Amino acid sequence: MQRSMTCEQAYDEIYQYLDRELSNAEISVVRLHLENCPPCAYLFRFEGTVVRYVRERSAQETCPAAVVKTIIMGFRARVSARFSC
Amino acid sequence: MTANHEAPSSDAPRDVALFESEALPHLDALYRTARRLTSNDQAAEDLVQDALERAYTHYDRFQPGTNMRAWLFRILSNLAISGYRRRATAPSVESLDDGEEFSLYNQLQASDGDGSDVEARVLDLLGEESIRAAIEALPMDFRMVVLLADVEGFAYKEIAEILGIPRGTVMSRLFRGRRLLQRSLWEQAQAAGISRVKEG
Repeated sequence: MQRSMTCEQAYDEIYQYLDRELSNAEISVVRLHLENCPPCAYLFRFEGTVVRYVRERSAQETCPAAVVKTIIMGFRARVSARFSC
Repeated sequence: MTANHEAPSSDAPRDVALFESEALPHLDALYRTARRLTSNDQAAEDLVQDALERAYTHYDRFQPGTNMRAWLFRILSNLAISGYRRRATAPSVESLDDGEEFSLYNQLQASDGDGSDVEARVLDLLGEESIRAAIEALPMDFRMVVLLADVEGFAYKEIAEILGIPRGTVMSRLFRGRRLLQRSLWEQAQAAGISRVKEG
C-alpha cells in the first residue's frame, strides 16, 4: 500500500528528488503526490529547470589553453625539483 | 633540473606520465571550480597547481580503480578551505539566515501577477555571467557544495566524502546555497531591469 504525503513533506524532499538521491520507493511516493497536486508539480518542474540551467551554463567552462600550459609546466617544474625525476 | 635547497626524495611516487594521464583530464573541472572559489585568475591557477603537486606527492595513497576525480576535488577543496580560512574575515555559516527561504518561483509569480510563463522568464535571469557572479557571491561553505553538486554533478555521498562532512550537512548547505543563489540571481535581474516586482 502506498503512503501519501503532504505538500510540505514533498517540498522537504524536492532537492533529493531532483538530484536523484531518493530510493525507488521514496520516488514513487513523491510522484504520487505530484500526480495529484498540480501546484507542487509545477514548482518541482520549475526548480528542476533552475538546477539544470545552472549546470548547463556553468559546466561547459574550460581552462584557457594558455593557462593549461602554464599549470602543466609549473607542475612539472615543481615535481622535477622535488623528486629529481 | 634538481633544486639544491631541497634534497630529492628517493621515494618519488609513481611516474609522472601515469599521474598526468589520470589527473589532467580533470583539469577543466578543477580550474573552473578553483576560479569560482577564488574569484581570481591567478589564484585559481596557483590553487590548481598546488592541488596537482599535492596529489602527485600522495599519489601512492591513491587506490587505482577508485574515483580519481573525487580524490582530486578533495585535495583541491582542502587547500581552498585552508587558504580561505587563513584569509577570511567573516566565514559565518551561522550568520546567514537571511535569504534562506528565498524562492525565485515565488518572486516571479508575485511579479507576474497571474503566474503564467514563469519558466520562460527564468531563462532570462540565468545567463552564464549572472550564474558565475551569483555563485561567487555565495559564502564559502555554500559555494563549495553548490559547485560540487550543481556544476560538477557529484552525488551527496561523494560531496560528503570530498568535504569530510555528514550527508545531512551536504543537504542542508545545498538547500540554503540554492536559495541564496536564487536570491542573488533575482537581485541581479532586478538591478539589470529585467524583471520588476509589481507595485502593489
